Amino acid sequence: MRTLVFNCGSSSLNFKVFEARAGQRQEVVFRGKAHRVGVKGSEPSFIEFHGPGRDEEEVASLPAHREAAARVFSRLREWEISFDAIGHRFVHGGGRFARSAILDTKAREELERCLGLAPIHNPISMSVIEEATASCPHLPQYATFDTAFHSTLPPETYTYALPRELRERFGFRKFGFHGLSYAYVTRAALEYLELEGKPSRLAACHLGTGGSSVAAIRDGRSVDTSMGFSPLAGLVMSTRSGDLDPMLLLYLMASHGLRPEELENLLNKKSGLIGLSSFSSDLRDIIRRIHDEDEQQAGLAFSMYCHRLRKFVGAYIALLGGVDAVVFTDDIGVTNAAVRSRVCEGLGWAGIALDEDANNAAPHDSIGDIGAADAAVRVLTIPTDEERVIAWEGARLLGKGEETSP
Amino acid sequence: MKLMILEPDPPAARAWISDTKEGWTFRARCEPSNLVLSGEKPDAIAVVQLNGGRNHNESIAKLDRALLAKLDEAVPEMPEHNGISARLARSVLERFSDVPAFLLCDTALFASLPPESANYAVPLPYRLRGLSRRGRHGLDHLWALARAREAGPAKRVVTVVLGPVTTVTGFVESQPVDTTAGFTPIEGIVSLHGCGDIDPTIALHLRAAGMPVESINRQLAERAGLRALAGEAIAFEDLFDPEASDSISFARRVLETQIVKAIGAMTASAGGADTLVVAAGGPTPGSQRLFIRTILEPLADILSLDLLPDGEDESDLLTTRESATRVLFISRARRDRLAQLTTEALQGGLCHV
Repeated sequence: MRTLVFNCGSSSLNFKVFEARAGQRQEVVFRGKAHRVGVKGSEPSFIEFHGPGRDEEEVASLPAHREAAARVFSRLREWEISFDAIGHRFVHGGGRFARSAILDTKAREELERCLGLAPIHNPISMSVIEEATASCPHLPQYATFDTAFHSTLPPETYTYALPRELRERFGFRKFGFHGLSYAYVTRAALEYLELEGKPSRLAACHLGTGGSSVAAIRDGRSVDTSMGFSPLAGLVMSTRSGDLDPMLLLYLMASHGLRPEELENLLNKKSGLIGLSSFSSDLRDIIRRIHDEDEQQAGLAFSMYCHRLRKFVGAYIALLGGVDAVVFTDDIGVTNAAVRSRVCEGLGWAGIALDEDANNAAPHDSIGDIGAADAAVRVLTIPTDEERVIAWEGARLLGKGEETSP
Repeated sequence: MKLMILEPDPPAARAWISDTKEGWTFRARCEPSNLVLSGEKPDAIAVVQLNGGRNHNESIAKLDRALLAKLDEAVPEMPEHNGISARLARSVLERFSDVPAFLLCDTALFASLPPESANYAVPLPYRLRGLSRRGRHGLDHLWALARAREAGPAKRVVTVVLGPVTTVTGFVESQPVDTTAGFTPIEGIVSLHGCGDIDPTIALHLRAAGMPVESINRQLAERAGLRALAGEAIAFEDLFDPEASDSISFARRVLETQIVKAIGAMTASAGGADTLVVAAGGPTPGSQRLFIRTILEPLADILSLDLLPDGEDESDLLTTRESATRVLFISRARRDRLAQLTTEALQGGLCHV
């Protein structure tokens, strides 16, 4: 069985074709990525394609994700690359999707109702589903959800202490995000630590160039996570503030006359690292300029990023009663040794210590085991693979898979 | 020794008299600008200020005319309460000019928080406007820290002030490094009426749905919290009733979970904890003691707690003296804590933190 998997970013579209054979790991037989989708600027949009005997880049007009998907379908058809099913990543399934779902008529109707929950991400995933339906009307499609991994949160962590009528009317509760990534690194970590099927406790940090979060994972199931009803809550991110006093928003509305949409823009687009540093949302730029006297805010940005992360890891260690491992994943998590070092230096009380040489040499394409040899807790870097989780879910849903999700 | 403690209680104030012989007496609600005292003059007077603003960093300061300007400056921070504190301070200086008087400020402790915990991750112009973490219960945390230092080495200390509003603070070398309450006491751990930490966008959703700011304020600060979770008007002590309903038990579990996480977060901020102090109050110290033992269970391994068996922990100490992290559980009413701080200031010089 072959599955074409789409993973929409806000200005990109990743795609991979997985092939499943009996008793074997699913292999990627074709992959690519559309860049600068919907971005206006001097740099052109383009799509890269990689497969056996084929490594190409195609400059193309990509005003939206649907056009990018249409181009991908056209090229795959031209090169006779076949597939039997199409899987999609949906960021926010709300309370409607606790698990991945085959996209039949009813599921699509439910999906339509989730569009407003993640107004940046969900509609673009929907547009790719629509293009897939138009291009391959007879193939089964399914959706996976970043929120689904956190459907195991217990009520005491997902319930906000708000009046019941507000919770029920607006659906306010903690959902959590980055679930596909957590599903992948949990499985990879438990395999690596030989803890599959055994009691286990992980604090996993998904540190992306856009959004970042932390999850507390007991026996492979999420029991708490730093993002909330929306992806704004929790850690300091590239342009998002993360947690702040909710009354502060009321203060800004009442005393400074800010409208809700202005505040939403301020907290999502102009805060976090860019708001703190005043010059960059890229942590690498900030680290390079920490000692630059002209950029005094760089040190604060880096300190706050690490401090907030360390607090969440500490909170989840306490919640879990200790951890077997701390896992760092995604771009910053895997590639940034300075962040890992700063975060772990405050966690010795929980049995965490780094081997700094191993930390600095952590591989970017495989698991890095970077904890000190005599430390009680392991520290791992694990490159995430969200598309593979989408493929696992397809195999499970369609009953044709040999390798499925845990 | 006779102490008078004056607290704002809008629209008036409360006066408490402590006499080492007779214990506490609730003097009266009083008009802050017109303090009248019958009987003996007190040996010292303390005026409580709930929010000293960003720049006032003395938890306990000698009250004199120079301090009045600072009190006036801080009125906009919390107009209703701070206005009363300012009037109380003036009355004290006018009517009791020969009595040692102190200003006890509940946020001053946190004026020295390091920038990474004091700030929010918003653009500089907003930070310059004073949008920062102010904390809450600074005097209670200071009192708890002093008890930790009395009990033994206390380089890294985590203090929990348990009550209708619960806060947790981390200290290193007696300096606060982080605390759970934020710009207002609503941020942090769920309180009896306040929502605690929520996704900030919830306030925006409510406003976008047409709810006025004042109504959102009421929903988050007055109609939320443990009472909203319990679904009924409970008192804080009801949480610890062994016969509590399922919904009240659920509210207690939420509080328990959030305190455990806050202790973990503050321990991480402090880089460890050699002492954990829980300052409780109210009429059910026994039940709260049991509650704290529940909270300590998940922390026992990671903090290497050598807990005394239930029933053998009659003193303030819940652990053996050899425990890697000592745990103190001390039940004292807030006015007792304030009186002790005032007495210590009077006898041992001012406490600058």
